Amino acid sequence: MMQHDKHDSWVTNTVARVRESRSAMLGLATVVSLVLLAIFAPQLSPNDPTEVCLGDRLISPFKESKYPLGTDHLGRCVLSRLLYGARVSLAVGITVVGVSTAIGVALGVVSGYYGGILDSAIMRLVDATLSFPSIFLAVVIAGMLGRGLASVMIALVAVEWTSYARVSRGSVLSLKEKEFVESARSLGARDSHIMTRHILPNIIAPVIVVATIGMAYVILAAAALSFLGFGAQPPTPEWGAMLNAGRVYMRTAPYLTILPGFAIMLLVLAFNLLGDGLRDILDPRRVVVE
Amino acid sequence: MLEVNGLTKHFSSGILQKQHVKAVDGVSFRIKAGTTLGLVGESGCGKTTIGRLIMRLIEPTDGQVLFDDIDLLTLKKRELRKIRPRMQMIFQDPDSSLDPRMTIGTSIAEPLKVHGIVPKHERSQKIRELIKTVGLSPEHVNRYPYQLSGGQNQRVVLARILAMNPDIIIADEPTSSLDVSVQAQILNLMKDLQKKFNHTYLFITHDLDVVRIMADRIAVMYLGKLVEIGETHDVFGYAKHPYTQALLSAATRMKPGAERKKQTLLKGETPGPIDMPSGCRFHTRCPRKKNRCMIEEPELVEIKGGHHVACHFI
Amino acid sequence: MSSLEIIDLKTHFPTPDGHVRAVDTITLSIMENETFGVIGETGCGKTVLGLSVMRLLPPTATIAGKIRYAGRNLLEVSEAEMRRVRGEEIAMILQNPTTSLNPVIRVGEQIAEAIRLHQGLNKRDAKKKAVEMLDAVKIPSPAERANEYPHEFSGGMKQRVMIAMGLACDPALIIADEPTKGLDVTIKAQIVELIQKVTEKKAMLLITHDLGVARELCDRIALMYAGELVEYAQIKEIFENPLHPYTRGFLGSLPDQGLVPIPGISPSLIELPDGCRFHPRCKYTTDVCKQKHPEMIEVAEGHFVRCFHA
Repeated sequence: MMQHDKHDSWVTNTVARVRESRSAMLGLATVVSLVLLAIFAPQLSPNDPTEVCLGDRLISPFKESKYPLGTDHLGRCVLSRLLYGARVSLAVGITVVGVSTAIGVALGVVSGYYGGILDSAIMRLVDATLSFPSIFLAVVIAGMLGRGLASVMIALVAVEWTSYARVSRGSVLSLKEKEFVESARSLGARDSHIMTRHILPNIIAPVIVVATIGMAYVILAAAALSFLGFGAQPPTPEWGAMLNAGRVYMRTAPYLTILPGFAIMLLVLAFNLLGDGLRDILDPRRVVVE
Repeated sequence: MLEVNGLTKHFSSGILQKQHVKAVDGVSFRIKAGTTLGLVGESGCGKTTIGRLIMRLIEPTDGQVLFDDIDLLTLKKRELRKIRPRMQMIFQDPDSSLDPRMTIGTSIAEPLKVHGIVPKHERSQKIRELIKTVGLSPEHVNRYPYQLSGGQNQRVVLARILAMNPDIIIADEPTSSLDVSVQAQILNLMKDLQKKFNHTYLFITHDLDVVRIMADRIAVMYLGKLVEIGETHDVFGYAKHPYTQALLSAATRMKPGAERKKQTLLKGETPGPIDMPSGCRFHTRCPRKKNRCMIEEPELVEIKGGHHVACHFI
Repeated sequence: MSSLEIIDLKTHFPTPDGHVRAVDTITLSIMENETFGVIGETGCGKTVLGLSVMRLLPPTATIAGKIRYAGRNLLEVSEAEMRRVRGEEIAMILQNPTTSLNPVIRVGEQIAEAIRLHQGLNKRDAKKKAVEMLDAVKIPSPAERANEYPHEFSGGMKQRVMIAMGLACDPALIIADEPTKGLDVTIKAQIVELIQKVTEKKAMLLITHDLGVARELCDRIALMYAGELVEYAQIKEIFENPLHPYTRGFLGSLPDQGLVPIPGISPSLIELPDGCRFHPRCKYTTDVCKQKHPEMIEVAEGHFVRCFHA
């Protein structure tokens, strides 16, 4: 390892390296802009996203200044709906990833640290969950819980937590063998102390990577479920639902499918870029000379 | 002070046919307070397992570890946690002995916090003191382990251990990942600290040159058993077990100007612990092997005050 | 006749943290049949020296200088020619045989592959040669062991296999980088003896931190510190009459030589000290050491030292 004279922590180091990685930077910039657009949706939207105006149905984009990106079959402003839709997608993504991370990491750490029967039980549960195609499982759960965003989120959490559990368990298994964990044990520290003070901070990096890529997956899955009619119910502006509603007008008003489709793609792509970049950056096995 | 009696650890492996690996098999020794016992052996002989068994980082199959007449192996988890600060361990790789996400200062403060040894407002003063004792400077407090060299990190490990004011320190190859010039710094520091704080050391190593200067007594281990134990002077000067003799002759000497002696090389390799030889475990490589060695396992026999050897032909 | 001649070699690595001057001007020559040891501590650049000769460096590395071998400069030959040189003319024995062998290929096949690559033998003859090589490195029942996988070999046996592989094409020069690292003393002694035997008629560059091994194997040794050589001479001369303060410090810090440590730590190869690179740790430092970088001077026949006070 090279010696650094600067008193830099790994956080500042990571920030510095994110700056150097082009794809991570591009992903981060896109994510940040979309988040800003979502936050300021009320200020930026030219119209109320749910206001129906049957007189202004199916206006094409760039035709009228009142509706910059046109209107849908009920005369609602597409731009406003897209901006508000970003809020829904991001909120779903953050909630699902947040809850999944909390559940998955907690179970994964406990599972890896204690091992034995507890470990076997948790990991069999993970295997069982993963043996179904995840979107299929989500459809089944959403179907049982009824329509609505809440059930979509529960369904996605039920599937998503497994990846966090697996990643954190794997990291814990290798950390557990490290001398500093043994040294903490021989110091007389409690298991809870070791898990929170020594293990957790050291598995953050891989978990962040999984979470970022997980965001992309969750947003796409939520849109897909809404497209299938399980998720957001009208008149909530949600990209997947917008895509579904616009499908009927594919020939006459293709922008009704293209625009929300493009929005989904952009957000998913941004998170994927960021996640891939972070994976390279946070990888401890970076090339070091001698 | 520290007494180990019949310490045994069997690992079982394999699912269909359980195979028992006797990693440590009935090892007994005693270390007097303030002295150093060097535990020498080659990889796979079980010396590292002994250190971890005494610390109860792994649970022994059988035996006794008496520490001031308390049997450590019968203690409950909570009692064990209370006694642990008095016994500490130094590991081979200083870079992985420290939490990479903690600054040096936090690492040293951890034992103080966990055991509430020093009141909060005196902690930073105490940390500065400890850092000075191990020969680092206060500017190191806010750095991370990866910013320091291996030798410096091993000093941090020592500071952390000193924070608990232990009686016994088990050092498992503490310098074998360090360069020689740095190794000398750490070994000297350890000797100074021992003098100052009257520590009792169990010094585990494969390096005969190192153990010779560090230890008062030496125990030589082969395939889970002690084959010879005695005063350093006796073991080095009058080694009686053929394995000890072979180790000594294989350790290449580097006395400038001295004639290169033709060494008697030991044939073959250490058998795996699974296909353990019958009788004396060393008989497959022993130049003095007789029929008796293949059948009968030799006991440790005292040949002179405190010098014990396990061999039929001494 | 010299076998390998390294002239003014500089190998640098640009990194985000700065320029790593791993090898910073090294000149040395190895005679035919001679074993030349380069002794140094972690991070002094000795491994990069060996890799530079083999041209096995990552593409970011910049190399300058000359590496003369068999009438040509190895830094100028084509990559295709270099591939032929590696293994056929110069072989490398690496540390860490465990990761240097492919775990899913039988040991015999791995050696046979090296032979076929260079000698154009057919599969059966190459296999036969591989078994002969295993026999030459004293692996018992070589024909059977050739059909085993690396994990069935112990550490010492794996290192024997690595040596067999290196010698398979009968190279004239061998570069051995810490060939005994991680081996137990009794096994180490066996491997040293083996290397001694098989390299008797070959030139060898031995890179190690272990003076004991160097003493057994080398005719001459050089001490390397912070990217450059600081002293070299016949092995006996180095032990009997070490002149550079680093050499003396290194010898003195050995456990059976008094265990006197060298104060401080080795400099980072990014920020090398001005003047003599050893001056911050040297007890003989004077003003000139801080300002001027000393050159190698010959103080006695064949004994070179880089120190103003030698």
